[in-house]
Amino acid sequence: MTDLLVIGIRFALYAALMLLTGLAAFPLYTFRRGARENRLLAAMFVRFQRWLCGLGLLVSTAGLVVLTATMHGVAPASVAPEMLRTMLVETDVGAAWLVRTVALLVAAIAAWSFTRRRRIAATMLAVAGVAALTTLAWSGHAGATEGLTGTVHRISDALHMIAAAIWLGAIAAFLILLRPRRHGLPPKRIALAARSLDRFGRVGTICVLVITATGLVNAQLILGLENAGRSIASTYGQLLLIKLLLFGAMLALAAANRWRLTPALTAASIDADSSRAAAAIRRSIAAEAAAAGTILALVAWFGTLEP
Amino acid sequence: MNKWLPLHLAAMLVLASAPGTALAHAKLVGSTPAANSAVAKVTTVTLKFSEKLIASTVKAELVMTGMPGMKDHPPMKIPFTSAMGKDGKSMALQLKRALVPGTYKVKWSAAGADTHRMGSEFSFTVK
Repeated sequence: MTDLLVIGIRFALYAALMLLTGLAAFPLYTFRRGARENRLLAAMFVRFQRWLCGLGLLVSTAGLVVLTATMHGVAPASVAPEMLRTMLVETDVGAAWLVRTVALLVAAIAAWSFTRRRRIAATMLAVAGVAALTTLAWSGHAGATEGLTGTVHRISDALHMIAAAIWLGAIAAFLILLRPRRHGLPPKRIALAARSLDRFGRVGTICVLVITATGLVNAQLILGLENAGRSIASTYGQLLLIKLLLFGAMLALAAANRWRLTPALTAASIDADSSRAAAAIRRSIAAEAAAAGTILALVAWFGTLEP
Repeated sequence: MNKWLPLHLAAMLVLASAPGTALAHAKLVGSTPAANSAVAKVTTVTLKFSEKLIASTVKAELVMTGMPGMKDHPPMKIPFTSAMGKDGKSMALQLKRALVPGTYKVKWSAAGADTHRMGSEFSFTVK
């Protein structure tokens, strides 16, 4: 029961912080600073980001309470303030929670003051999101590795999550952009989506490279690559293998989007009727989102297991 | 792709240099009296751990499980005051008076910095 609660909290926390950061970064790299499209996109996403800040603060705190309970061997309902204080003062996880809370509050302030100070708010959101995401490196296996190796492990873990966040945020951004409307998507909207998709190509490649490199480093530090064959026998190894297969599926879908569906959408957006091309790429991105969601659920689960 | 070369080189360097590290769960590495030993005049039970424990998470219990000449002795809790060692890696159970002859069991559980709650138990005999 507690296990399921912990996994649910981890999933919600990873998803909320990754979407928050990824959506904040999206307008910053797809278009020039201060471009009209930039403001248009940021304004479209900020509604979701307000919710994500709230959700992040909520599940982050719930996570700390549940962890405090399991560490003290008591039920979550009987966690005393004194125990929480001990966690904040004596453990890295507690300190990470404190930093994450401050980062999420900064992000929330940015999201709510968005209409008045757009440019600063957009940058603040992205920076605070990255900071909040980085604190999650202390909540998994990377938090337990010691010394210099531990520092390398946490940096690698943080980069892994930031790259994944940028990819996930882009997926969410495209689904928001291409959300079906009752009277069909306006051609302007489709043209904007096509241009952003085109710009994302390069950034997406960088994300994949960073995810692969840091994933290898993490695997070495947690499992030891020479043990990779043996670890297939454990639940941890099997879940990791499923994660890798889903990552492969995401790569295949991303390749189809980049080299087939995006050019088709760009070509169609010049013509009168582009709704079919938009529907095709929407389906493909939705499949990518489903794979990404499953990966997050797997990570939320096997991060709690012994490798 | 050439500009990604430094990144890949760095990754390879880390892969080659870092050993697959074991995770540091707290475990009992020693005690006085030692597990399964037979000793006399016990006024303190000391437990030594592999990792630093978080003091507020520590739970310990000492029970007398057998007494010479008494069959089916029900487990009896022995009161003590506990104190963590300065380095957080040891704990002393200070007894009010020396233990009477019999068999005893110590149970402990606690969480270390890796946030995992661990625990074990061991027995010893007082002559």
